[in-house]
Amino acid sequence: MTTTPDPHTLIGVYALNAVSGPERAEFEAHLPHCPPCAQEVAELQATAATLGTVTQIAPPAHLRAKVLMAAAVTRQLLPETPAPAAPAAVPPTRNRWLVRTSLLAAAASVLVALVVGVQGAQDRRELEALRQSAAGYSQVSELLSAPDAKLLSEPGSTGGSGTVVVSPSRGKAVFLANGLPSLPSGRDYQLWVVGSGGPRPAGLLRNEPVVTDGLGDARAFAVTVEPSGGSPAPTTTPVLAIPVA
Amino acid sequence: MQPVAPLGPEDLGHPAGAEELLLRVARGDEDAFGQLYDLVSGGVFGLVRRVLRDQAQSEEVFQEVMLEIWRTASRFDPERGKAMTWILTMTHRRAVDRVRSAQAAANRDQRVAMMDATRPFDQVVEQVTERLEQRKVRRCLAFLTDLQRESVQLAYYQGHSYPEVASLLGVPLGTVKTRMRDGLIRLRDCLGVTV
Repeated sequence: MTTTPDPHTLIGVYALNAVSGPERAEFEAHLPHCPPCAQEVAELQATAATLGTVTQIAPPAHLRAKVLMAAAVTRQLLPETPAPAAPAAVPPTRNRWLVRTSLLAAAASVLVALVVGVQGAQDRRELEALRQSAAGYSQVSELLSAPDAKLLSEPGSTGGSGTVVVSPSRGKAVFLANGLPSLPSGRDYQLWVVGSGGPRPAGLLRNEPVVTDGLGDARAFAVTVEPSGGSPAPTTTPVLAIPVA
Repeated sequence: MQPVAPLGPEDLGHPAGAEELLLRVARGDEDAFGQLYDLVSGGVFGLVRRVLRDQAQSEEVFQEVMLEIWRTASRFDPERGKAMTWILTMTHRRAVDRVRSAQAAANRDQRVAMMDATRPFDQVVEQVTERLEQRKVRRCLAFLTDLQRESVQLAYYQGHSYPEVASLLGVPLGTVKTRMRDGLIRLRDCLGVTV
């Protein structure tokens, strides 16, 4: 009796996922060294997969939005490429400087937007809206002063963009939407904080910054189009998502 | 023996467009992922549900698989096989891994294992949609010997490991390994599967 049996006898078993643990690991280690085995495995896996086409069951409808939202905030694996030559390392001090500078630039652009807005304001209603925005923007600059503040931006899939300032130490974030396409009546943009338990509603976007307290395990911010007034859980695919962790 | 006409790729449950969608998903195209979801979710959930049976666990594993498709789409190589094969192979492995880990937990708690064993399977069978290629798969399965067919089906649909299949069928380990391989080869030739 041999301690290492011929690995080729495992081809069928492997294609059916009927082998696990060290035996499976050993077989997988053998595969790259045996092109005929790999070819037969591919063929038998394709054969086994046809058995999997026999049962079609629609998953519960609410899972679609959940999966698409999870995808929107999940980083994809990079394609496998031949190893490139190692790039020259950028000194870390320069990186920090760049981050610092871009934070300041972003804060400045927020202020410029505010000033331009004040100059362009024509009537009392606009001024009132601006006053509310100013309260939000002052929260932005206040939050930007936190030592661990991060400013993140992403373009929306239908146009416009979103920016979020997050400070984990203060458990707080301010979200600003910019130039999202206007919606037909009866629809609102709704903001979500996506944590390990799924998306939590974080308010409607009404042309002003949205302040979020109690960040907790937030991994991302996402925006969906919802029926007017918002929904308890997202019902559409996000038009914008910003991973924060 | 009645010969069975070989299947074209479109008959094997590879809906047209899955390859193209998966390649677009690999480039981060969320819209393509939505379309791919609509195309493959019934097959993925059907397979997960068939192997796991438990609705709540199936929903969990289904979401894991769909997200895994999104995450690892760049690893799909159209030169090495069909998109649907790649997706269902990943699906089956995830489902079987869940069976194994659930079994390990259940072995520590016999009561849970018994509850799982008595869960009815009928609801799943009711929702099975019979399609042309599915009939061909069934016809081809009929060309296998009883032992080959039982070994393949116990492993694939029940998620049993080959030692478990050997014990269920009362045959030596080596016999089960051979029957699974020969059974799949016979099925491959009947279905005309090529890679």
